[in-house]
Amino acid sequence: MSEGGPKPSSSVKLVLLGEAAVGKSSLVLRFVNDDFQENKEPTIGAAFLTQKCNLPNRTIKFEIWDTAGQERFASLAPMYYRNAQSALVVYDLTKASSLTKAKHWVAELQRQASPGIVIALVGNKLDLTTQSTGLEGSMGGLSLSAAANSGADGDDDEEEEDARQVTTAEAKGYAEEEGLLFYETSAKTGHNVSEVFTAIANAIPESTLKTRGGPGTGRGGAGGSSGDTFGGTGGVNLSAAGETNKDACAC
Amino acid sequence: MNIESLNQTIWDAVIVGTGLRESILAAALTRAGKRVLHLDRNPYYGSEYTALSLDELETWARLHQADFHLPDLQDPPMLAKPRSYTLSLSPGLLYTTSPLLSLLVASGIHESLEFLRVGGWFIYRPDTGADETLTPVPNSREDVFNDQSLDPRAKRLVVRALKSILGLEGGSVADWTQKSLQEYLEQSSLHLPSRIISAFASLTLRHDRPGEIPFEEAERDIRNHFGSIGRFGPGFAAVIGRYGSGSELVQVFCRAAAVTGNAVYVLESDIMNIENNIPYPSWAVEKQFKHEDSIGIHLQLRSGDSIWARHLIATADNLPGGIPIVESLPKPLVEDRYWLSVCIVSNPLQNLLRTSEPPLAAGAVVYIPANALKEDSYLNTHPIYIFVHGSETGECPDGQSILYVSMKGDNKRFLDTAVNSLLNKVRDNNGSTGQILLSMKFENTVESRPLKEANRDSSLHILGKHTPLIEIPDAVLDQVIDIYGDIVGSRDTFMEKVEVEEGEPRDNKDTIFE
Repeated sequence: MSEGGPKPSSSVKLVLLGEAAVGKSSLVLRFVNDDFQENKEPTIGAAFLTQKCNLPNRTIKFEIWDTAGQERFASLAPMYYRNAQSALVVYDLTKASSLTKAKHWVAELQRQASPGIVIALVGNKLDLTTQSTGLEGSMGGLSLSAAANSGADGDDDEEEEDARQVTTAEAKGYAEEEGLLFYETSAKTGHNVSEVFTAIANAIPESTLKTRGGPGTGRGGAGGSSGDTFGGTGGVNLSAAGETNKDACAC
Repeated sequence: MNIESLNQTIWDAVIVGTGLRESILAAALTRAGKRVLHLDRNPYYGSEYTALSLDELETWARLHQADFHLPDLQDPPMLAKPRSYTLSLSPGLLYTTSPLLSLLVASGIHESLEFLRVGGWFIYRPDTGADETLTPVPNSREDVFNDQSLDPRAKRLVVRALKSILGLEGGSVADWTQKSLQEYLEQSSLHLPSRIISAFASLTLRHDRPGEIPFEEAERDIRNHFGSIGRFGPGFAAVIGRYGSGSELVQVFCRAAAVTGNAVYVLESDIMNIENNIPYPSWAVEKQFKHEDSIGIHLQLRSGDSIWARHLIATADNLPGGIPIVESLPKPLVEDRYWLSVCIVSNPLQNLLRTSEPPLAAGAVVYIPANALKEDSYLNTHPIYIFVHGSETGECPDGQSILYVSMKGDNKRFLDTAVNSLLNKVRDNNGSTGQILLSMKFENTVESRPLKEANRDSSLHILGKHTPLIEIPDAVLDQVIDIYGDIVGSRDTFMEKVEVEEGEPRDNKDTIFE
């Protein structure tokens, strides 16, 4: 570990799923680079990014697989959610059909992914709404004016009214039923983006982390490992391969 | 260009099957800018390299006439949920010196993979007291000298044999080229006992008896073993990938291909027909594909899609039978038959996973010599390997382990006998031996023709049948690089590194993004 002192470091595999154009890549871009691009091109295939998240008692390294929402053959997703510890299922809260698709993904994850997977349901594009239907208080600090302005990026410039099609109550109720984390975000303003990832990091069961290298199981004395210890428990750091073979000699 | 259009493209390569060689090729070709359509007839990735949950394994067993057995003794039931298991058809290890590992690092693909240590090698000895039934194979000269079971003279002889095999002694071993490992170790100046011979033989990971292993090959294997110790840390020579080893490797290569945006993946896709040297259709000639070649491969999929490709890469058994191109392929010369089993046992086998450095290793290799087990008054004719995967691999819950058993020929009943014999000798912390919670036994063949000799012409690249056993062989890479060179025109660009976007470390939720 190059920084953060002796805090244990764990890798967490995270997969993003959701309909095309709901803002999956934009959420990742905001989280990883704190950046936003208007009219971002669709993801082709998939993208892989990493991002460290410092919690009070440990460092989580997210290995993020951002999948293409428009993939026609539905053959890619299984390769990403396999052995993933967490999933971010994204819908566009200005497009009701995208929540239906998100529910399909949640069902597929519950059927096919690791039993302990932490799933967060995320309604993105909060900046396109003018109000947050009853949860203003708890959403904290939502800038209504900024949201209203960015609504003008849509096709309909005159449309002043709320573009929201999915109420907070509906999605939140569904998330509670299915035991999912739930957030409404704006990749554009950054609202709630880091909160989603932090919540996921906190929700990963200790036991899952332990098998990937939690506290107390660190590599005993196997010094000289710079950078990530990738897991830590039994994890072998391939990049730290000393070309020296000092104790290899049998005689 | 619309990436999702299967029909309106001339693919640089269509790859059929998602085994290891196919997946490495997909990653390498797409990184070189080639457009790849990667198909698999199964609803899962990996072909013969796949890993399955408990219920998927049951389905697999039914489709492959495997012997799936759930002993009727689980009260209370001890198996966890089906998806708590990742049962691998390719649990094999990689030596730390494996060129495949170097490739993973050089290409940056290792970033999303986790490798774990294989700790000890053990020899099963039926002829001793209970505590000594499993003897660790020495990893160093110190180990040899610390071995209580050897007298001083034997220690000197073992060290001498080891030094000479490793080429550390002046003397030449050239005279032994036509001899076996056993003959070498039994020569009059060494005259080592059978249990020492077993220890040397176990390091070759070969399923032949020591008397059948050519000395030259054994020498190479043993040198490789000792040369691998210490490369990534003290005390271990080999690693396995978490979550099923080979099956996980396959997945990362497929992901690496998909990430380039140059690959399209379609599972559950069957090929109905293949024709070669067919003129491309007029749209292709007119449109974007102004290429020197005017003929290619035409594939018909069951979905009705009509596919055009410059190259086709597949193992013969992933292609449809009964069509001229496939029927005209040369048949494999000799096939070795193996019995394999996958067992879930209710014993964490921690005593086998201890190493000189904590924490526990994830895997261990147990070698049962020929004639060590008895079944209906018959002895096992060939050595048996049990590759232990502990729960650290993520393949099973804590308190259990997965045993992957392999042997050549012989009677499949020895597979369970081997596991039970091992369990009887390795008690868990409560003194319990544990039991087999599930076993699946199946037969497989391995072409004796070297992997490297792929059957290729300029556009059809047919891979030899390959069954991963206890080691993922280096030779897979040679073959892959050959085909890559044929398609790309140069081997130099094989799997060049692609930068992964990595964010600055973020603090916890106090961080506000403006």
